[in-house]
Amino acid sequence: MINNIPIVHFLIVSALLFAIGVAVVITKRNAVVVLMGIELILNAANLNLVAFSQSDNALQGQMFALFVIVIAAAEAAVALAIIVNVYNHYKTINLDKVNQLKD
Amino acid sequence: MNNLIPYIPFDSITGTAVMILLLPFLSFCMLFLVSRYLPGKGDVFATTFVAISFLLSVFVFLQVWNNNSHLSRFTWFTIISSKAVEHFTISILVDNAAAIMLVVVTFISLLVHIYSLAYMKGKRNYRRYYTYLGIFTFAMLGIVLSDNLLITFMFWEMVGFSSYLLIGFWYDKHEAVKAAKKAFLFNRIADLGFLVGLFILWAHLGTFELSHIKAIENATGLIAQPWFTVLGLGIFCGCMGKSAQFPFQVWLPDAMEGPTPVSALIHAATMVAAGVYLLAKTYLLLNPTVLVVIASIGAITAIAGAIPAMVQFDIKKVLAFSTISQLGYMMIGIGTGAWPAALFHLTTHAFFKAGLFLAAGAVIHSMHHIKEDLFEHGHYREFNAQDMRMMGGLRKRLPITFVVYLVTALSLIGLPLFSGFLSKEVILYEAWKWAQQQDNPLLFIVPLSGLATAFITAFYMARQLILVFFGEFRLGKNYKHAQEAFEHLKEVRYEMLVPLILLAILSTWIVFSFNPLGEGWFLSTLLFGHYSDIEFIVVPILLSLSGIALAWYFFIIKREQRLLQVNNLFHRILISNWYLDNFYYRFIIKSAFKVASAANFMDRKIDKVIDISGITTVVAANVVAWWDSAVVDGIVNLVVSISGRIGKFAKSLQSGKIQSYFTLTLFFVVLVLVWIFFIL
Amino acid sequence: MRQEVLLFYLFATLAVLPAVALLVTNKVVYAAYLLLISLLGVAALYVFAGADFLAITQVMIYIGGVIVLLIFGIMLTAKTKDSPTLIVNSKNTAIAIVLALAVFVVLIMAILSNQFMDKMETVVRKTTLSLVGKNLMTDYAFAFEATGLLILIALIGAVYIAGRQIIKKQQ
Repeated sequence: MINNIPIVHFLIVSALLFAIGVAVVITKRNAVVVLMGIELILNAANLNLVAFSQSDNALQGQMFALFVIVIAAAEAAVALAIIVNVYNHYKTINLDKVNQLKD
Repeated sequence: MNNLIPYIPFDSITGTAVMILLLPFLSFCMLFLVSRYLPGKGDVFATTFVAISFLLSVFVFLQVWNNNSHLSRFTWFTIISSKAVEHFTISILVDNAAAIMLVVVTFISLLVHIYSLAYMKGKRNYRRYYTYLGIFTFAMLGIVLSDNLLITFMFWEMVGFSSYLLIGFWYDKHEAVKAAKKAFLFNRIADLGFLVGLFILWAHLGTFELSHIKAIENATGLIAQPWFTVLGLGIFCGCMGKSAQFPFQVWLPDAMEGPTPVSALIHAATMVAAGVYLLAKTYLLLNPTVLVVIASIGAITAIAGAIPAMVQFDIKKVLAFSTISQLGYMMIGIGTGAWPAALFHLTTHAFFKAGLFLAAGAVIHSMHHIKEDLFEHGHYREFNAQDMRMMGGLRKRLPITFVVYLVTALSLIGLPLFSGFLSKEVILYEAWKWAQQQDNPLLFIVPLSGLATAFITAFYMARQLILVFFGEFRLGKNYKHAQEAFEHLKEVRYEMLVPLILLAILSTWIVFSFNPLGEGWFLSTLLFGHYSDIEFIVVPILLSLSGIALAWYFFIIKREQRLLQVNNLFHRILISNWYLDNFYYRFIIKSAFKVASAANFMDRKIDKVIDISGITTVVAANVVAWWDSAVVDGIVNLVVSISGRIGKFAKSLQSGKIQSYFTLTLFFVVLVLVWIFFIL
Repeated sequence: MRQEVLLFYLFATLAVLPAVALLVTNKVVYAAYLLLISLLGVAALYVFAGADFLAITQVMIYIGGVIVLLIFGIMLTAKTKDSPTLIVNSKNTAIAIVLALAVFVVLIMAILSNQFMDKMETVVRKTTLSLVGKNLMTDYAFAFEATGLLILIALIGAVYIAGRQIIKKQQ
């Protein structure tokens, strides 16, 4: 298509999604919701990549984004396994209570 | 002061002398610390030590008598000033006088130790007794051996202190405590005079040592005149206290509250003789004026001591007054220039007076037996075991004691064939010769009082012998059961008898001279000329015999019972020792108490002032404390809490919450981005 | 405006608004579904960027796999000692807003400070599928294999971690 969306729009949407994802990660107390925020962030990055690969002959951006999706899925799986373990151990997944890392 | 050799090494004699000195001290230390654990509470232990001291003293005596004297000296401390280096030295002198005194002191101490094994056995506080005897012997030997007058003074005070301990040995008896206090205080006051003398000596000559003074050329001439007399008077004042001269004699009769062996040791033989010994040693420091004073006071003391003895009822008090009187004799000897005679009389007096006291102790011991006997049979009656009015006829039951008493009493009276005769004769003779050479005819009082005292001495000793040993047992006459107890009396134990017999032997003439009328080896070593005025020997003998005859007459023939009570004023004056005690109390003690209570009042006022200042300080301290805690501490706490909050904040960065970490990281990432994008 | 741009804005809204709602809501299940819708919107945006294969892949993997996983996770961790986790409160909102705004502002300013061309030379294709396949087998073969290995490891890891509790229970 010759008339395509100016790239700035993609970038702005991506920045928006990124900021919202950051806000979700910082704010929410439930670990699963934090995970959702992380997914949002990843997707924002993906959008950015894909937007820039519009003009690419070799589709590098899309390849990158593909791999990101796959790895994000794997990471979500492992993260959820850990969360389930944490839940079984601490009987809570409230991130305020799971603070054994403190000094 | 310049030719003082600071160190003269110890040779065998002085070394032995130091051992003699230290053995009783060692006994004292050991008994003080461990007597609880020793068998018999250390009595035989102490006795052995004193026995060794005695044997060593005999050895020293044999080496030194009539040979050279041995001196050794060592430096105690050195004062180094810009002008000179001054050594303060201590020296020990073992000469004739010291050697004989060593023998006398250790011998009598040994006898008292042995005697006390029987006399004090089973009494309370037995453990302390030998400890005190040890330190007394040590102090007395110190006086004998020391040549440095300051050291002598120290030992002098120690002797006074030991006598306080020993007189007040039965400390729960009120009179004993008072008597001990009295003895110590009179000693102390007299020692003030001694100190003044010492000060003068140091100020003029710069040394305390007699050997050094003798080494200086014309040392006594270096001291200006009024001071030289004061020096002599000061030293004599010290001797007045120790040797119970008039008017300081009041403590000696009261000191009879102590145990009888103690009286034998201290008040017959050694401590009271220390004054005489000191005067003999410091003879070169006494000028003729002082000597006249000494002789006069000695004369007064001799008479003033003898007369009250005629009316006393207590066995020991008679002997105490007798001691005062004999000490007067010794002072007469010194004052008239015959100090060897005084030393001779000191020696003989030591033996026979100690014998008298120990024999009196045997009598008292037997009277106590009678008391116990009565108690056992349930017929107890309280009486004073020392009262002669309760005694009588004891020669049948205590024969050996009687013989000892007789021998020593006759020696005291001064009859020929006894040692006392030898020494008394010389003193009287020298006194007479001296009075003849003096300008002042009044000074004939001195030998005259000596003669009168001889008469009175004979009278009261004979009275005592008769009252105690002859006649019938007066207590038994009034109380039948006592008579039965009396029949059961036996002679005293051998530990008490052996010293008695030894002392009796030493009171006979044989020990001192083969010729019962001559002067013997003692005096021919120390003395200058012979004396051979036959008529002069006879007069005192006649006086003594007439004294005995008078007593015999009164007490045996006329059986004068009235003299056994105190009925008229003369009697009362004598019994109370010339009312000297009351005099002291009224004029001296009372005013001292008034001064003391005034000082106490002032002291309370001062205390109030101090209290107020104390309270003020406390109030001020409280204000400062409030300020300190509220303000100063508040500032400190504020700083602390600020630091704490900063710390808590910093700590909260490590909360263990993942989201906080993420937040922080993101914050810094944003900052970095801002920096990259907009600043670079 | 042109239709594409309008449609773009529509799908952009579809992507962003659920995200905002995800931020605001306090029910976890709602959050999961909102995420689903948001991801769907993102997939639509991929199409607008000419990445058709990627869009389908996104839908399949994310929505078919990850969201389901998340919902299972929510189910497994629902009951806790204190309040049930189905209701989630948020905290630190102030800091979050500030920071998110800061991030957004930084990014926007970075973006806007560059002069991007309005029209760029885009490559027209019928589909990206063949190119993606060819790339996977040639240029990105190593990454492809490595990713396969990674997924294997993640699978084993997840099974192990989550399975430990079952073993404990059976003991």
